[in-house]
Amino acid sequence: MTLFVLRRLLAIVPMVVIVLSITFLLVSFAPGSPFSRERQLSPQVEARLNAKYGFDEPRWKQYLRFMGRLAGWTKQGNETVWRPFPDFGDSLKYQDRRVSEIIAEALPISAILGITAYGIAVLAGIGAGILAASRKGSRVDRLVTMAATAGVSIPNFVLGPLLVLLFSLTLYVLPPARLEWVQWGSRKLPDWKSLALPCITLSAVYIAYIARITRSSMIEALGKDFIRTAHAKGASRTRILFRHALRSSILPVVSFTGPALAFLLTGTVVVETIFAIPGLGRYLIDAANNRDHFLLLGITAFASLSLMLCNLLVDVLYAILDPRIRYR
Amino acid sequence: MLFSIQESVTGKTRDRSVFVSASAIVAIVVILSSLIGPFVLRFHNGCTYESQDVSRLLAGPSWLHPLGTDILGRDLLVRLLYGGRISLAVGLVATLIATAIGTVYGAVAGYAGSRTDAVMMRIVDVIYSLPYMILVVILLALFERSLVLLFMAIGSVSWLTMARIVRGQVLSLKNEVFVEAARATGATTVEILNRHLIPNVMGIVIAYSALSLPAMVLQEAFLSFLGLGVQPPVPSWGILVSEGVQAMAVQPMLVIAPAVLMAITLFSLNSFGESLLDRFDPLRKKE
Repeated sequence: MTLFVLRRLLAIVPMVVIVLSITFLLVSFAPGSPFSRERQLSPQVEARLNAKYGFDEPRWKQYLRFMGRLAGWTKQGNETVWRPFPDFGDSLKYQDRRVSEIIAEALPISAILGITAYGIAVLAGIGAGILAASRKGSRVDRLVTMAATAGVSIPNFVLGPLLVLLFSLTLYVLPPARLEWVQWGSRKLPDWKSLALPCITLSAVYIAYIARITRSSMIEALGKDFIRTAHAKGASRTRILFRHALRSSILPVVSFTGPALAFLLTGTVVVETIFAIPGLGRYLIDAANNRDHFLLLGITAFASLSLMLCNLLVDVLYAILDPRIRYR
Repeated sequence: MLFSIQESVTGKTRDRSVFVSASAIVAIVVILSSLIGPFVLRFHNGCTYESQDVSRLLAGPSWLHPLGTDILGRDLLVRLLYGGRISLAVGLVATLIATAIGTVYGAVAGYAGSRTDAVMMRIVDVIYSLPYMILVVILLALFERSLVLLFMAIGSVSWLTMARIVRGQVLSLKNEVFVEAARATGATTVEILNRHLIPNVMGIVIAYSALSLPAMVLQEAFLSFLGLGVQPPVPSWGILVSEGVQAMAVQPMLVIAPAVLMAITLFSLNSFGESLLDRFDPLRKKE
């Protein structure tokens, strides 16, 4: 198991390098320059700027320099020094700000959003799935399946505006945009009211998917022999549902969480756009539009790394939950 | 692909077939009306998707403009139907690209077997684990936005699922007696693939592409919503939603109408695709 995790961790490195290389290729061949503003810069100024960031050098040199910086080598004066952490360089658009600063600021916001939505999706989805499966064929079951199919068909960028329309512009109960922060002891936490709509928007599709998957695999599990045995032993209904059936039917849900994480990541782009939240997703689009090369590459590196780590986590969880699976 | 993980919609069979035909009819109605609708409305009020009625900005529904007008005085219904054309066309073309590449790739990998198969599927695995949406967003944000690039971006990754499915099917088919017989009569590899294997996987291929159509429409809408897909003034459903959001405090119809139409269309396309899959996928359990 440990060996498996180590091997997979090592495999992540080339994957991130591939993603960054593709991105670098796209970035360096894209039309437009990071320094084009409304006001034309004088050629001398532009040349100086290009020289400062190394854009006047051949592409392969730029690429090597960038990768070197990621591995920890930085130029200080005329010397190259190595430090044990990656250097993403400076943002080209936000003057005097380093890419790592921007990421450090935006990441917690996206993470709060994502983790909350993920939690909601798992709890509500599994709950609804169990409810529907335990009363298979009943009205509750039909309601859940219909709602789930509807939920899958309503994309988050449609649901978000509709929720804003209902809760903010008609009922006036929740704020329509932005994340508000409240002081809670010594830390600042986001206000639940401003978090509610973005999180529901983000999680709706996953609630629907998880509910459907849970329902069908629960129904399958409930028809198995060991459930009858449990009944015969005199185990209570709740115990059978949660201890016996759920345990064996949770695996498809876990394997769905892998792709779900990827979609959650792109979902945050949409939700951050709708609700004007300054998270990583928003910065990604802005950086690409502004030709803020280093910020774009930094966020891409970060996003793909976290995605792959999450996928690894899902695989490990899978092995823990199913004793039949052994990784070597 | 998100939409390949699908479960059945309702429990009972009879309920189901009614439900499936209803959703097929809804899908057909939407497709036909977006094809014909813009012409009809041309006669009704003379509006095209970009003609402006400056005397009526953000108007509510009326006889002249059945769904009202947007912030530039453009007829919402015309834009909605025209946008349907664009969205469905993008979805269709991307689906065709993905299906064509995926089927051929999967069939070749499955039939070739051994090392070729291993290498080809390893490539699929690697592309699969790339954070594809990030790359698409970057690609579209950096380069000149065109429909061709949009097709390429969406279609270029969606073939992966298809390739996996077709490969699996071909693997199980290629040792069947009829393939053996064909080989014995001296048929070439291309002939066997073309005449025997691909026709046999066609059912499941069609079912999966029917399911990936709504997924593609969704992706187009998602990219257009972010301003990375279809470019205004040409409407698509994603653009209509994003424009509707801007004006929704004044005229909620502008976001409700595209949202509802899109949800209905995706819903019916999804359930139609699923019913096809139920019929053609031998791996799916009958409930």
